[in-house]
Amino acid sequence: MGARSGLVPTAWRAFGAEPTGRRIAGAGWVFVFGLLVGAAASVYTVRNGTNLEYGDAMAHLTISRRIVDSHSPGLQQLGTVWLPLPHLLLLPLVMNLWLFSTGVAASIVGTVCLAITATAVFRIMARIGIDAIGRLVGLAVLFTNLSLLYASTTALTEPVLIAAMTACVAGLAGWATSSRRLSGGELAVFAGIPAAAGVLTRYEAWALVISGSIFVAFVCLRRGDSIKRAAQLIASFAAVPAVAIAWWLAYNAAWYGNPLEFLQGEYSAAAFTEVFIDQGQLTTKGNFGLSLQVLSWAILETSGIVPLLLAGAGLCVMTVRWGINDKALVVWLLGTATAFLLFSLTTGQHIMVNDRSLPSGAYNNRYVLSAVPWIAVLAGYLLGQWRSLRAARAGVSVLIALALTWQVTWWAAAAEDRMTIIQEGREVARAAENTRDAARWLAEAYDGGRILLDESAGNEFAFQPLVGIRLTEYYNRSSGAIFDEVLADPSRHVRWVVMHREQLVSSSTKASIDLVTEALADDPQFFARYELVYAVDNVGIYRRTEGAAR
Amino acid sequence: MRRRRHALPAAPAAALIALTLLLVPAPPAGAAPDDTARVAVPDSVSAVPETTGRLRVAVPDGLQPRRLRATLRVENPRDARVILTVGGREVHDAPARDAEQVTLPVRPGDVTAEGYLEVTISEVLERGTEATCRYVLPSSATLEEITLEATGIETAPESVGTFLPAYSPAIDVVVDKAAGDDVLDAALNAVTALAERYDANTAIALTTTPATPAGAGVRQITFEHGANPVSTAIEQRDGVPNLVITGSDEALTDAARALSSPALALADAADTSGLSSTSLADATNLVRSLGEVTGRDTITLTGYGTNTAYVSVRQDAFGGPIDELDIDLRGTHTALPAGAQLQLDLLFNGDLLASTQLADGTGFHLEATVAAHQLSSDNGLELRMSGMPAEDQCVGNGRHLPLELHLDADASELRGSRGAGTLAGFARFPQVLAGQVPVALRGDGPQRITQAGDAAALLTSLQRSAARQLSVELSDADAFVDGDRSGILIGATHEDSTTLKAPLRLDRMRLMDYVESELQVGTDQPYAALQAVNVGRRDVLLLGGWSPSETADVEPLIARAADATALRPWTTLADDVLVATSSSDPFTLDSNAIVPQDEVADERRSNAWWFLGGVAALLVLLSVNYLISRNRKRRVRRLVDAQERADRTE
Repeated sequence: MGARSGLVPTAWRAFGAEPTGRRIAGAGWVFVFGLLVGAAASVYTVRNGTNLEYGDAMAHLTISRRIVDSHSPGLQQLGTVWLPLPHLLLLPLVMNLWLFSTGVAASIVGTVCLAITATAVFRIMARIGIDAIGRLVGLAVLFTNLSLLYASTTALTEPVLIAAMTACVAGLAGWATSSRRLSGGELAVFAGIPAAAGVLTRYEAWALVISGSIFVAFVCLRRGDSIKRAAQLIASFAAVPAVAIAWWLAYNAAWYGNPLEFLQGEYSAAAFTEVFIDQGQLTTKGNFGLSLQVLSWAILETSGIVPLLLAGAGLCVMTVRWGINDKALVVWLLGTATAFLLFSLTTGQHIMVNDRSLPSGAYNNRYVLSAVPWIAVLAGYLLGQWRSLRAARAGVSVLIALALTWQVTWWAAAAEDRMTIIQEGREVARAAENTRDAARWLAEAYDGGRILLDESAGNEFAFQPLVGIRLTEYYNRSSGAIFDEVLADPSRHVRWVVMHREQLVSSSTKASIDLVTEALADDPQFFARYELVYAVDNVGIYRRTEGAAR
Repeated sequence: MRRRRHALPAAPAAALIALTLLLVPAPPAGAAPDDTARVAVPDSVSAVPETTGRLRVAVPDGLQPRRLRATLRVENPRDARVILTVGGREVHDAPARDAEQVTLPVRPGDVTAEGYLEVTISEVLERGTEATCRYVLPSSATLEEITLEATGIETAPESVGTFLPAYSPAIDVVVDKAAGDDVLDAALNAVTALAERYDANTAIALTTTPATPAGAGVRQITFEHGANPVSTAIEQRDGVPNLVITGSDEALTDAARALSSPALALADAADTSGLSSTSLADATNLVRSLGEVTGRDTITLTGYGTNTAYVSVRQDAFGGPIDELDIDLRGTHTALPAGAQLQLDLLFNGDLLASTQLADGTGFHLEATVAAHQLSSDNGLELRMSGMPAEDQCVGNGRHLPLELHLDADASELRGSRGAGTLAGFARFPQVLAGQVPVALRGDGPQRITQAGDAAALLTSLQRSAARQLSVELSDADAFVDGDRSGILIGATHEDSTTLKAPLRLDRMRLMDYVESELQVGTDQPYAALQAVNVGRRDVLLLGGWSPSETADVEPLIARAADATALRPWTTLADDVLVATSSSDPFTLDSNAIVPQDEVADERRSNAWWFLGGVAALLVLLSVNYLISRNRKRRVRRLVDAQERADRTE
C-alpha cells in the first residue's frame, strides 16, 4: 500500500520533471497513451465505417496500394495531386487486402501520428518550462479534440502533417532551450528530418521550413553567434527539407516533364481552384477580412470554444511575461500552418467553406487541425506558469476538466451539426451514397473478370477499398496507356464497366469528366455486348454478356 | 353517325323568344343569369367506422340547392359500407372504395330554417365477417372537394351583417387610383381580415379595377376617404354586391379590421355608422390551452383500430417564435374491456414524442417536449389512438363495448419557450411578426397603389398561416429601412437591399448549379425577388426587382413574385429567396445557390480590422512586457549598484 501510495507522486513528479538533456521523463508514457487513445478512436470509427466517409481518405488508400498493385506499378502512381509521404507510410500496410478495404491501415498510421503529436506537444511544453499541471491541460486539450481523433483514424493527410510539424517544432525547441550548444547535425536530425517529412506531406510544412529558419536565425543572433554561424545552422536545419523538396521537383520533372507540375498541371491545386474561381465561389481571394472570418470560424468549430478561450488567455499572458523570447517564438512557430492557411485563402490558393463563407457549406475545414497543437500548448502555458498558486491552479484545473468534458459531450451530442469536420465527412458520404451502394453491390456480385472505370470522374469512383479486390483487376486512368486501349475495345479486356450513364456537367476540376462515359455512352456496340446490371441515379454497372475475357 | 342540324322556323321562334322575355322577370341586380350556380364548399367531413361525421353546408340566400358533388375517399377500405345523408335523408349507401366521385341529390326542403344543409357520413362495418374479428385496420371515410350546385339567383345582401357569405370564390378590395395612405392602410387590414375569415378557396385581391365576374358569393369592398365616423353602404357594381366603407385615418382601419369579427353579423343594415373592431386577442402569452389554439373544447377519438386527431399548432399563437414547446395533454377514456388493448401516441410533425398504454382507470396524462429542431412555423400535433379488441371479440357485430377517448382541450396545455428558433428564411414568418406587420411601400402615386396590391398578396398568404389576425401598419419606407422592426418592404431598391444586408442584392446576379433556372437567370436578365432577410433580431420580407436598363419595367415581375405566394400556403415556401423572371415560373432557392455578389463579399473586408485589432493588442502586451522587463532590469541594476556601493564602503 505504501509502495502504491508513493507511485503516484513519483509518476507525477516525473511527468512534470525538467528536461535532462535529450531525455524528457514521461514522454514515453505519453506516446503509449496516445497509441491507446488513437486505437480506441479507430475501433469506434472502423466499426461504424465512418473512417472511410471522406472520398479523399479512400483515394489515399487506393493511391498507396496501386504503387505495387496496378497495371502500371511504380512511384509514378503517387501522382502530383498530393505530396507523397502519407501514401508511402501507408504502403506496407495496404498491401494487406483487409487492412486496405477496412481502412485499418490508415488507422494504424494515424494512431502512431497521434501518439507522435502528443509526445511532441508534451516535449515542447516541457522544453519551454510548463509544469505537470500545464502539460496535463495541454494534453487534455489535444486528446479531447474529437475532430483530431476522428482524423487520426482516417487516411487523411492531417495526422501525418501535424505529427511532422509538431515533431519539427519540438526539435527546434530542444535545440533553442538546450543548456549546451547543439550541433548543426543534431538540429538536422531532430528538426530537419521531421520538417522534411512535413514538406513531403503538405505545403503548410514548406512554410514551417521558412519560419523555422527565421527562428534559428533569431536564436543564434540573440545568443551572440556570428552571422556565419547562424547561416550554418539555418542550412543545417533546412538542408534535409530542401533535399526533400528537390526530390519532389525532380519527381515531377521526371514523370511529367515539368518540375512545377504539382503547381501548374491539370490535377494541381491551381486547376482545382480555377473551377471555383470561374463559378465565382472563391470569394476569399483578395478578401483578407472574409478569409480571416472563414478561417476563424473553422478554428472555432474545430478546436472548440473552451480550448480557444484558454489559448487566447494563454497567448496574452505569454506575451506579457515572455514577450518574444526564444520560448515564446517556439510557441509562435506552432502557428505557422495557421498563418499559411490565412495567406493561402487570401491569395486564392486554397478554398475553405463553412458557415461563414460565401457561399456557405462544409469543405476543407480539416486543414485547421494543424492549429490544435498550438492551442493545446497555449492552454497548457496558461496553467503551467503560475507555479506559486498551487491551490488556485488545482481548482482552475478542475474547472477546466469540467469545461472540456462539457465541450466533448456538447460535440458528441450533435457531432454533425457542431463539428464541421464530421459534417463534411457525412455530407461527402451522403452525396456519394449511391456510388458507395454501387461499390458494395459490386463487391457482392463480383465473380471475377476485370473492371473498367474512371476513378477521377467527379471524384466519385475512388471507392476501391469498399469493393475490396486487387487493384490489378481495374483498368483506370492510373493504368497508363492501356487505359486508352481498353476504352477503345472494352469487351476484349473487361467483364465489368462502371460509368456515369450521362456525362457529368459539373465537377471539381475540368479534368474530372468521366472518360469511360465519354468513350462508351454513345456507342451502340457497347450496349449490344454489355447489359446494365445495376443502376442508381446516374451511375451504372454493366456486365459483359458474351465471351470470357479476363 | 352524323346528326342533322335542325333549324327553328324563324317566325314562331321569334314570337316564343319575345313571349319569354315578357313573362320572365328580369333578374335582380347582383345575380348571375346562369342556370346553375356552383359554390365551392371549403370544408370536408370524415368518419371512422361505427361513427358519424356531420357537416353543415351553407346555402346562399335565394338559391335552390339541387345537388352536392364531392369526392368520397376511404382510407383502407374493407368490408364496410359508406352511408351519406342530406337533411336526414339517406342519399348514398355503397360499399367502401378507395375514392369515387359522388353526386348527392338535394331538395329545397333539406335546407334548415337557418339556411344550411345537414350532411352526415358514416362508415358501417359489415357484420360478422371473419376479417372484422381478426384485424382492426385504421380506416376512415372522408367527403371532400364538395361543390354545391343550385339553381336560382343569389339574393343580394341587404345588410353589412349578411354581406360576407359563408363561402366566396373571390372578394376584391377596391381603392381609388389616388387613394391616400389611410385608405391603403384600411384596405390592407381588410385583406388580412378577409384572409383570416376565408381560406385559400377565396381569392382576395386589392385593386383599383375589380375584374372578377359576378357570381354566387363574389363580393367587392370599396374603401373611400371621407369624414368620420365611418359609414357603410351596399350597392351593386357590375352585378357584384359592393360594400362601400367611407371614413378616414384610424377609424377607417378599425372598420376594416371588423370584417373578420363574428360580431359583424350584428350590423343588420346596409347603412351603418361607426363600424369598428379594435380588440385583437392577446396572443403574447406563452402558455396556451389546446382549446385556445384549436378553438375546440374536446377532441374525441372513437372506435377500434387506429384513429388519429390532427391539430395545427402555429408558432405565432405564442406571440412570436419559440425555441421549445412543452405539451401537457389530459383527458379521459372509456374503461378498457377485458382483454382489449389501447395505446395512445403523440406525434409532432410526424416525430413520435410520447406513447403510452392505457389500461386501468379512465384518465390519462401525456407529457412531451418538442425541441427547437422539431418545430416548424405551422406544426401538426397528432394524437393517435390504437385500440385492439380481445382475441375472441368481433368488432362490428354490434356487441362490442365502445372505445372512446376524450382529450380535454381546455385542461391540456402548450407551453412555449421564447427564443429565436432554428428556422431560417421564409419559415420564420409569420411568427417573427408577432401579429403586427409594418408594411412599407417604396413607390409613389400609381406605383404605390400597385405595390399595395403586391403587399396584399403577401399578406393574404401570411394571414392564412397565422393563428390570429395580423394588424397591418403602413410605414414610411425610409423610416422602416432605418428602423429595427420586422415587417414587409415592397418595391425595394438596390440601396434598400444593401442597407438591410439582403442575401441577394438587387443587382446583377448569377445562379450556380441550379439546373432548372440556369438558362433563365443570367447576369443581364431582369428579375424580381422576394427575400426573407434576417439581420440581427430583425426579420424583413423584401420584395423588389432589378433590370439591366431603366427602361425595362420590373413591376410585372414583382407582381408575379407576390402572386406566387398568394397561390399557395405560406408554409410551403421553402428557402429564403423567391425569384420571378420573364421566362420562367417563379421559383424559390436558398441564397447559397446564388453566386456571391461582389458587394456582399466586399462587406466582409471590414473583418480585417479584427486582425489589426489583435495585432494592436499583442503590441500593447509586448509593450507591457517591455516595461516590466525594463523595470526589472532597473531594479536589478539598482540592487547591484547598491551592493557594489556597500562592498566599496566595507
